[in-house]
Amino acid sequence: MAKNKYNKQCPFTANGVKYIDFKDINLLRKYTSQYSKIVPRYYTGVNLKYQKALAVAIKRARFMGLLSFVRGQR
Amino acid sequence: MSNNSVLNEDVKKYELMLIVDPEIGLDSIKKRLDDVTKMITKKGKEAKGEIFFQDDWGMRDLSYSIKKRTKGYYMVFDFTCEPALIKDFDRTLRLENDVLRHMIITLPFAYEPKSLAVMMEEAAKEEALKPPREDKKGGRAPMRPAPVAAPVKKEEKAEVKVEKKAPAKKEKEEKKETSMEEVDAKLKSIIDNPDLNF
Repeated sequence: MAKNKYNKQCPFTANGVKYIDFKDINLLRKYTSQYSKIVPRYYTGVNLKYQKALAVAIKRARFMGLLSFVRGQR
Repeated sequence: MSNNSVLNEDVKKYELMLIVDPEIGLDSIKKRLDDVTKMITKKGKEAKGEIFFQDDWGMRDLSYSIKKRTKGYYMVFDFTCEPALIKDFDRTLRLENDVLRHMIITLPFAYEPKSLAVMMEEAAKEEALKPPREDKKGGRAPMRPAPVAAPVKKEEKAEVKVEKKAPAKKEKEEKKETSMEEVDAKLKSIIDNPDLNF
């Protein structure tokens, strides 16, 4: 069984990312749905380690008003 | 705090982001930010913080209203200091009424500061790199350019409206003035919008 639907490679593992910055809104937007929810990693192929870091970053960005909690218009 | 060596290792990298209330005016915003830098770098009893990077994001639209404000003045400070000081920073910022929101996080040692402008440039490059995806996804990809295109149309429309109104209705001068003010306000909001500059 394929581990994820689209058999994607984790983009963070490939680039050896060390820290996911909550200020990098453009990056975080890729991992939120149109309703501003965090996209599950079975769609994005992100490794568990990075998914956790992503979740933290997204939540920080939400708190600082960079991303919306719900139904972002952008 | 048993050894001096431990003390040195205790110096950590921190990042402070804060949103200042835009209603107080640009000058007082600058003053507030100066106060914050002083707060971080001032010489305390034993230790002081050192700012190694700071980034002025300027006025931005908030994703949701905070304290009934839809805009905020963003500022980022990256600094090192004794961990014990963080509590004080947090407290003083929390008590500050002109700070809509603030957050202090601990950074990893390997962190390399990046300014907002650099991040936006990189994002623009990335978007330029994959044009075939835009075609496949249809409506999704053009999301970014769309808001730029829309206000321009609005501007044109507004001008046309004003021209039409001017000769037709001479009696309702007061109404005309209000409409002009509205148009001005709209134009200002469009011009002030920081997202359009990128």
